[in-house]
Amino acid sequence: MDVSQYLEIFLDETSEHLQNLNTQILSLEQEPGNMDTINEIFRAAHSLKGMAGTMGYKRMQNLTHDMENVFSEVRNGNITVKASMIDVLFQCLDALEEYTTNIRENADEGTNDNEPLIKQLNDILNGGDGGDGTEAAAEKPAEEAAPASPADNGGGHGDKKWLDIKLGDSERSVLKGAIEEGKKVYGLTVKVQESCILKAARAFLVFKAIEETSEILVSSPSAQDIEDEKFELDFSLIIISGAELDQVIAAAKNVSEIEDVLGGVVDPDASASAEEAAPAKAEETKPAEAEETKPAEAEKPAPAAAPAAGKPAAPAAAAKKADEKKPGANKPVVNRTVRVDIEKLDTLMNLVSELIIAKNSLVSASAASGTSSTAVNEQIEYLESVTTSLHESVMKVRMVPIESTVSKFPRMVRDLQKKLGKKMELYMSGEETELDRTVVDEIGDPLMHLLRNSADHGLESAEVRKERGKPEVGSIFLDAYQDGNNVIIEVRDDGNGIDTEAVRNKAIERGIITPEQAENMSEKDSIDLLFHAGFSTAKVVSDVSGRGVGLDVVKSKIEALSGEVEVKSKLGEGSSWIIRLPLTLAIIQALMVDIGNEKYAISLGSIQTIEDIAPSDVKFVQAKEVIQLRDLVIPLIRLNEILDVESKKDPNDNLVVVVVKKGDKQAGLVVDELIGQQEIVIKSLGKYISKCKIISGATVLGDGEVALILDANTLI
Amino acid sequence: MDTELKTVSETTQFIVIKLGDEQYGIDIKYIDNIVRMQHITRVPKVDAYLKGVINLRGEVIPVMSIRIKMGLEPDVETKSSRIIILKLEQQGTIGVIVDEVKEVVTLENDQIEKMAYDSKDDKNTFLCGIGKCEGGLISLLDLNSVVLENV
Repeated sequence: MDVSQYLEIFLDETSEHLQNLNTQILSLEQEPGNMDTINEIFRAAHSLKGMAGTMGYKRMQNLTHDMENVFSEVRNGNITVKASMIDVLFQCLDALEEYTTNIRENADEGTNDNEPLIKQLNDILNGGDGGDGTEAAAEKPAEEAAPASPADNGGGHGDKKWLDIKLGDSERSVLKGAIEEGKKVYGLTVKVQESCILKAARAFLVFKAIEETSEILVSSPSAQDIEDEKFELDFSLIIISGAELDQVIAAAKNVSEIEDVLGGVVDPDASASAEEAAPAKAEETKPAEAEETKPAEAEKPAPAAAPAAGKPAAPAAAAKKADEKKPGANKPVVNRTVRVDIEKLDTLMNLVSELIIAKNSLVSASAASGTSSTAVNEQIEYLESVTTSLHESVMKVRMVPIESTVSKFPRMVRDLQKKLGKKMELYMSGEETELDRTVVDEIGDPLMHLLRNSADHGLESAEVRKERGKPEVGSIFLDAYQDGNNVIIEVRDDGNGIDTEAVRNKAIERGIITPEQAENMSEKDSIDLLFHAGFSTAKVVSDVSGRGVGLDVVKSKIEALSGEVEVKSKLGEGSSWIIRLPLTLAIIQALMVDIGNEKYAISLGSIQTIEDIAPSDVKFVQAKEVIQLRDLVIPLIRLNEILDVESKKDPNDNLVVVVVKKGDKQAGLVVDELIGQQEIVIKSLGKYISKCKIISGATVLGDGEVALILDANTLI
Repeated sequence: MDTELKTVSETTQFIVIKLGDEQYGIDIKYIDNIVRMQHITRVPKVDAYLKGVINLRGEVIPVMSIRIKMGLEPDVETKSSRIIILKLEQQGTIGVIVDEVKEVVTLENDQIEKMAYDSKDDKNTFLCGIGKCEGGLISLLDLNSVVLENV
C-alpha cells in the first residue's frame, strides 16, 4: 500500500500524540494513581503503535508496543508507577521523537532499535508480573498475531462468530483479571441489516452503546477496519462487562438497522487451553468445542423487544472511554475541525490582501473623481467593513494557541532539573493565547533558550537559595497574554538576576567593549550586551546553555518575527525576559505620513502620541535635538535627514512629531505632514533590496503607488 | 550561462534592447514581463543602481538601473523607456530599466560567439557572448553578473 500520501498526517498526529504522552506522563509522575491519566497514556501509545504499524515503521511500532504493554499492566493494577519507570518512559518518548525526526527528514525511521529501552520496558513488565520472564516476550508475538489474523468468517460457528476470535496472552490475562474482579466476559456477534448503507456508522453506534456498560477488548475485524467499513454484514466482539448479557445485547439491538445480536459468555481459560492444545490448523474449531461445553446462557437469544432504555448521547466520559478501548479508533467522535495546509491559508490571506488594496483603490478613485454620491460612499463604507471583518476572520483562522509550543516545556524543565541538579518548578499561564501560526512555529526555540538560560544561569543551587532565604525550589514562570495589538510572552525566574558587573567584565574580556566604555555603561546597556553574538557568562560550558549561541540567536529570531525582547533584572531577586510579538504579520493599521515628496507608513502599534511642537521648544542635549514632553525628554529624529529627502516645510513652522516607543524608550519622529490612518498590507521588499534596515517593508496604496513602511524600532 | 547556451538545443531567443547606442540581448527565458516606465518609489540607503521599487499587479518589485551598474550615464526617461521584469533563480524577480526594447531575435548557436574565459575575470563586461545577425552585433548580457550585488 502506498502510504506516502499519509506521511504528513502521520507526522502531525504523531507529534500530537507524543506531546500528549509527554504531558500525561508528567502528570502521572505527580499523581501515579490517576486512572484517567493512565488510560489516556494507554490510548495515545496505542494510537501511535497503530499508526506506526500502518505506515510500516516496524521499530517505532515495536517500541510503542512495549510501552503499551507496560501501561496495560499499570492499568490493570499489576504494576505500580515508580520514578524509575517514568524515567524509562521519557527515554522512550525521546526515542520515538528521534524516529519521528528521522521520518520527517528521510521518510525513514532510521536503524536504531533501541533495544536497551525495550529491555528496560520488559524488565518493568516482568518485575510487575512477579518475575515471570517469559510472559513479556511471549506477549508481543501473541498480540501481534491477534490483529494480524482477524475475522475468520469461514469458521465453523455459524452465526456465533465471536467464537472465532483468537485471544492473545495479554488479552487473556486481562480477561482473567476482569473475572477475578467479578466482571463477566461475553462474546457478541452483531449482524447489520443488508439494506444498511452506513454500516460503519451503525457499528460505531453499537460500539458506543456497548461501551456504556462494558469494555470492548477485542473486535473482529479490527475496530479500524470496522470504522473503514471493511466488513461484510457482521462483526464480533469480546467484551468485559459488569452488566448482564441481556442488557448488553439489548443495548446493541437498540441501534437501528441492526438485524440481530448474538452473545454468550466467554471463558478465557477454556479458549486458552483449547488453543494451546491445538496450536496449528484446528484453532478455529477447538475453541468452539470448548465453548459448546459452556452453559446454555450462550445460546440465549436476545429478547426481541429491547427495553426502552434508550441510549442518548453518551456523556463525555463514555466517549473518552470509547477512544481508549477501541484499538485504532482514535478519531474524535464529532470532528468539528479541519486540517488545512498552511499554504492554502497563505493564499487566502494573500487574496484578502489584494481585496483590501482594491478597496483602497476604490476609495481613492471615488475621492479623485469628485462625484461624491452618497450611494457610492455608503457602499464603499459597507465594503470596508466587510473586508475588515474578512481580514480579521482569516487572521483568526491562522491563529493557534501557543499551547502546542509551550506544552513541551514542563518536560524540558523536569529534565533540566535532573541534569543541573537544581530544584525548580515551571509555572505557565496563558497557554491559550493565540498567535499567527507561523509565529507559533518559530517561537519555540527562542523560548526554550530563555527557559534554559533561566534554569542554568538564573536559578541558584538549592544551598545558595537556602542561604539567601529563598525557597529551595526555584520558580520559573512562563506567562503569555495579549496586550493591544501585541502578544507578550514573559519568561521570569526568581533566581540570581543578572550581575551587570560580571557581564561588563566578561564583555571586556571578550573584547566586545573597552574598559572605558564599560565605565559609562548604564545597567540597561550592560544587559543588552548579553545579546551580543558570542557572549556567554557561564563559567563552565554546559550542554544546557553557555555555548554563546543562545541569546543573540533569540534576539535575531524574535526580530525576524517583527518582535522585540526586553530584559528586566534585579540582582539577587531574579530577571524577566519580555518578548513582544505582533498579532499579525500581514496586515496592519498604519499612519501615513508625508516626508518631502514621499509617502511613508508608520505602524500604529508603535505610535504613542502625535505632537505639534514649536521650533523654539526644541532643545539641545549633547548636541542632539530633544523635546520635553510631560516630564520626559525625548530625542528628535528628523526623518528627512535619515531618509535623504528634502523637507518641503518651512523651518519656522511648527514641527509635526510622531512619538514612537520601543519598550521603555521613546523617540520623536519629525515628519512633514500627516496623511491619515490606513489599513495597509505589508509586502516584503525582497532579499535583493534588504540592505535598508529602517524600512521594514512596503505597501501598495490605493492609487497603485508603493509606500515604504518605516520600522520605528530600528530608528530608536 | 555558458553551459546553458551549449545545452539549449539549436537556437536561443533574445530580446534586443538598447542602452545608449549599443544593442544588448537578454535571454528570453529569464524575462517575465515588459512594462512601461512608471513611478519608482525610491528606497533610501541602498546602492545607487537600485532605483527603488514598483508595484506590479500588487507585487512589490525592486528595480535597478543597468546603466548605473555598468558605469554608463544615468537613465533619461523617455517615451520608449521600459522596465523589463526578470525572473531569476537566485535573486527572484527584479526589474531592469532599458532605453528601448527593439525586437526578438532568434540566434542559431553558431551565430553566438562566446566570451573567452579570461574576460570573465573582468567584472565590468557583464557579457556572456556576442550575437551576430542582420541587425548587426548584439552584446549578450550575462544577467547573473548584471544583477549581482556589489560587495
